[in-house]
Amino acid sequence: MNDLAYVIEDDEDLSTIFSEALLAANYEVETIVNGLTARQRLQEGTPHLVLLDLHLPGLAGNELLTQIRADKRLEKTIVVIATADARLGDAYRDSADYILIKPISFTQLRDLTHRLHSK
Amino acid sequence: MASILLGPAFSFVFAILGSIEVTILSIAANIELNTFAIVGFFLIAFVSWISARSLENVLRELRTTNANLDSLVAERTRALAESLARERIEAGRSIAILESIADGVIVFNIGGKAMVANPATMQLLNLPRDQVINSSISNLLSTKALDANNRRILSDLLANPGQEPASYRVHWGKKTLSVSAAQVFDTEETRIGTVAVFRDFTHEAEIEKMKDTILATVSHELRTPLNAILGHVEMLKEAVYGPINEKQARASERVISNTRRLLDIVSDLLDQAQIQAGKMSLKIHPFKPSELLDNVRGLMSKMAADKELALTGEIEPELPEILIGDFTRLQQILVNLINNALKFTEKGSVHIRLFCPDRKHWAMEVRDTGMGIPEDQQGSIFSPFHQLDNSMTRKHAGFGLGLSIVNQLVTLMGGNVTVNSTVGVGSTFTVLLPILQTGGIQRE
Repeated sequence: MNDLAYVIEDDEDLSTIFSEALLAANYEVETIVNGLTARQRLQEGTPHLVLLDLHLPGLAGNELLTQIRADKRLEKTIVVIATADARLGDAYRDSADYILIKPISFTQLRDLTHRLHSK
Repeated sequence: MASILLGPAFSFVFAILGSIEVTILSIAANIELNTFAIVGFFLIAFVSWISARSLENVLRELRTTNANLDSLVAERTRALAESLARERIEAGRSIAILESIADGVIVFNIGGKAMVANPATMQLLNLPRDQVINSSISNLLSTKALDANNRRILSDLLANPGQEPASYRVHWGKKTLSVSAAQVFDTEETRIGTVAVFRDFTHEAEIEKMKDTILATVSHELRTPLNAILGHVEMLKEAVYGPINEKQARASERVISNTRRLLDIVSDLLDQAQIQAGKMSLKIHPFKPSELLDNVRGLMSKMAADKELALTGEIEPELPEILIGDFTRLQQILVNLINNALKFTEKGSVHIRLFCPDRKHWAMEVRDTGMGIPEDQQGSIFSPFHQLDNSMTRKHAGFGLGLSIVNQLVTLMGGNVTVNSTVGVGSTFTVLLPILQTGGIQRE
């Protein structure tokens, strides 16, 4: 069974592209478009990888990141932050595993997550 | 008596005539002449004459002096009156100017008590006059309109006027104020107080905030759909939705490259706006120059290969293995220079060289075998939105921001960028940067 990945991104297009990239990297993908739903799903599931947008409706991405890092159950979860703001991304250099600055290419994400999945 | 009535000279003549008459009468009366008495009388008359004349001269001089003194006093009095009138006019003007200034001006004495405040002060600080005039600095700042942080900033500024930075922005109630303070000295160079100037910056602050919001929105709203276009076409090209033919693959490739170009333009415009707004900050960390060169070659090799140009690189051995700087921005500088070089080179190569020209500097050099830049245009190529005016640049139309951003980033890093170019032979761009030590500039 493939590892589980959460794609937490509210933009429909980007959510599709990120999901397809992760599917191409052999992940089982669950897409989440709302911060509050994401909080709920993070309490229930144990994803191998979370692709996290920082601007989310309901609950901001940084709060979800704090939640993930505070949850011992999710200590092995790889967090990849996707943001359009490079300065904002820098602030999470220590707490996130990878920071990708939008625009994020399909092939770039596919290749990166494929490497992470194979590890 | 004669001297009083007729003057000293006449009294002397009178004495001579008297003496002659006495002498004639003595001879006529055959009386023995008392020569001693006559000569004595004559001498007394002479001395009286001389004394009276001197006295008269002294009195005349005294009268003249008195008259001069009178006119001098009158002249001085007139000058003093004029000066006082002028001062009154000047003081009136100064007060009128102070009263009409839109900026709030408060003058505190050496004890920190507000002695002068113009009406704009009361309006800006939203305080009645009696709560400002004669109020101490701490009383004035105890208003609820200030929070603890802004109160501390103002208190420090007014306690130590004339220090850097010269002005601060504080929030006073609903207003944003720019406040500056300076020491006041008298003509003897003795400090007599502090003058503080308050300027209403609310409108400008709102515009600045709006500009930031617009920039962030533009950044997000332009990049997001461009990212979507890029991603969807990449998926088509990567056959995520099934195989495509060669023509479809080529069309996808064109969409991808043009979308990337648009994304680059958006990034350049945002960078340019950020730099101009003074909001570009550097993230200084140790990095490996070898990694910088590898990354840049990795990013640009495809573009070079597409044009069948060689992209080569070298690091001279004297360059330290670890340098300190903003890796991302240094990479952006190199990418912009290489991008420029590849654009204007039709055959040959683009060569990157990292080296140490002296012990205090390191340098990045990008050399191409392109069309070159005419000498008269070399000075302006680093200006924003500048493009060389010829068919080649029209073919490679862009925003002309790449080199301008390079120049501004290099300046921000405390370095400089120069160009050496010969038309038809090629160009060499050299970025000279200071070698930073750990704990050097920190611009987080």
